[in-house]
Amino acid sequence: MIITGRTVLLGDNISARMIYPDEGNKSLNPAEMAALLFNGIGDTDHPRSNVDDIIVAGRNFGIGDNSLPAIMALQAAGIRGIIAVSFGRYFFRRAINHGLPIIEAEMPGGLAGGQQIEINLSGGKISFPGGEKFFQPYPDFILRIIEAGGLIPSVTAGVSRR
Amino acid sequence: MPRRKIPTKAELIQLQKLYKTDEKIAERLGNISPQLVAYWRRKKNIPKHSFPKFSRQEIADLWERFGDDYRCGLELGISKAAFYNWRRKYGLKEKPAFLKLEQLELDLGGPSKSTGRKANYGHQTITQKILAETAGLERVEPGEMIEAEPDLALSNDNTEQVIRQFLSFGLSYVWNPNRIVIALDHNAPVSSLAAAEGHRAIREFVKRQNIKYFYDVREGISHQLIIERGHILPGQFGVGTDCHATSYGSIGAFATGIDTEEMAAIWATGKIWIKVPPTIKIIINGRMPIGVFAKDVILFVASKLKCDGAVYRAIEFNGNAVSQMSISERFTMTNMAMELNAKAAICSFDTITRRYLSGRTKMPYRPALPDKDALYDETYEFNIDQLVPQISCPDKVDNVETVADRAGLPVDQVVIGSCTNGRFDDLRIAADIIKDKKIHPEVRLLIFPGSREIYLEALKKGLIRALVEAGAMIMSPGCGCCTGLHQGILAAGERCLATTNQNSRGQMGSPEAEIYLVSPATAAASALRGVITDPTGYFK
Repeated sequence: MIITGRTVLLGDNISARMIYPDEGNKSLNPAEMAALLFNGIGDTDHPRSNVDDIIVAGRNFGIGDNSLPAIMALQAAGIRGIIAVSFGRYFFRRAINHGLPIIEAEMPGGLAGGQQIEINLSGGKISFPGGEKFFQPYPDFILRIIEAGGLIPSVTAGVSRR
Repeated sequence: MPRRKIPTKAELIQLQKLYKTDEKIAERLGNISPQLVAYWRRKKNIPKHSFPKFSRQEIADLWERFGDDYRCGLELGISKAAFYNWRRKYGLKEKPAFLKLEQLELDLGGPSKSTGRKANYGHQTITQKILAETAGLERVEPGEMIEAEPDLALSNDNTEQVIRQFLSFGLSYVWNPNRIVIALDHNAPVSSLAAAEGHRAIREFVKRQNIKYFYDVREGISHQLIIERGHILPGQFGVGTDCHATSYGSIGAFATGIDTEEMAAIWATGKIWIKVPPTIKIIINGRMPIGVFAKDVILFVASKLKCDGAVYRAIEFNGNAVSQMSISERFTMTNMAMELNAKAAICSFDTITRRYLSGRTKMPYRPALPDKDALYDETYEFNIDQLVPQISCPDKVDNVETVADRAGLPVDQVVIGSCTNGRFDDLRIAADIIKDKKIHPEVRLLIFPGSREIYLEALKKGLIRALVEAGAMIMSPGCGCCTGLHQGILAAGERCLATTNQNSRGQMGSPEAEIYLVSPATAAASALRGVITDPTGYFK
């Protein structure tokens, strides 16, 4: 399974509440959720992500509670995948269980925002302009979940095949 | 002729474990009759050794399914020779006629005879060993993702959501009704109409699915029941839809909390994916000073490691202080480890665990012990010789100070109980301090025994009477106000001293209420004085 997209760079310790502050908005409308993405970062010129982006972040991405709305907002905004050095515990599990590809890898410092990169999930390879980065590839059962779009759809598909 | 020394209870249990029947024990001791051994046993309340019994149907089904003595024996937890004897007894001599799918898979690299813990692979922690065993792999490395079948799938009041998700798959039966445990504890007894409807739906589902291990609101807190009734055993892998499932590490099992959606997937497929966590080793040495308890020790550890100290990692508790702790104290430690964001927390198996489990389970188990050269992510070493009672202040568990620092603050409510500190020894500590005195008139003291068994024992030993006479309220065993649902909600500005495990804002009601986490001794001493009090002076 291969995903491609343009990079969006973020720093360390981006908590789930920074990704999606849900205090004002309790609706689960994808368009509204996508509009609020990264509103918690606070910076006026925080990254505006577009459809087909791949987030590249530092340590502890998505820590703290409230990870589920953050994942839903990321998916609503059309984010294709996330590469970070490390993730919050709940964020990691829930992202995969909702079909969001999420990779633990440290990208080289020279990587710029807006560059086209390609992630080969089954091969464990990230290709970017000027280099390649390898990570532990996903096993089959994780690929099945991501391809199906989440744990629940993959179980449903498995059940109906039976 | 000198009189024969009568063996102690522990010796007799040990003998029974080795020699099983009274006749064999008598033979071993020499010169006495089996009837005398039986008499000693009855005097010491030791039940007769019961050999596992398997029905013909059970043996025939397994034989039909696997057609291999070793594999069938593994399923039942007996040796291949024992399985062979069983099937000969029932006259199953021929190999099954058809090659079954499981056998085919077996040949295609499934669990083979060489797997298992006997082989010495080296460098493995308890976590790695347990996860490798459940996934049917030779060994696993931290960071690796595996798919495993849990030995225990626990859910509590949120079973309602699991059921709804499970039914949406369109399946009629759950994967394995004997590995599913459902215990209603959060809302026990129910406090709202919506919760009552939820409980009714759960009870109907349980009946339809033939789930044997269903504990209704009367029984107590799920985590306590799991350990008490032997639903998880050393070396096993368990999951629960409550984050404090880490508590089962107290008997040497790997257990962790999961989402309700994942639980529904387990009910449907029997599988869950899990990332093998690296392990932190926490060595605790020294002797617990008077007035200091396991809760103080773990709060001290929390103050050093902080709340993000163990994110996505497993903890192994080690050291001579831990090896002297009872299962109840280890329970407190592994329960609170969740507040360090640990994936699991494990105390390794030893004679204390073995003694605790004897009589609680008939199933054989294979404990996992760490290799001597196991590789740990980090190692911490603490000495508790000089430890004083600790208190976790609002809003975070790792905001820990000594009780003496906060002494004198007035308290409105004191809660003793919950899965962290609701066991018999906790109640006894509290009762010993409170006995024959009266609690402060402006303090509400709520006691939540962990389970019906603990409640009954406390009743028999007179603890309940001592507590009620002093002015305490005994609540039904359950999670009660710890979850902020009912039974003792706090108003704005109130201060609560609790032996529970979480003190985040609004945990027990109003966000403006303050929750302090302490040991049962500190809680009891403070209830008497009406202000936060160091309990050391109450122990002579």
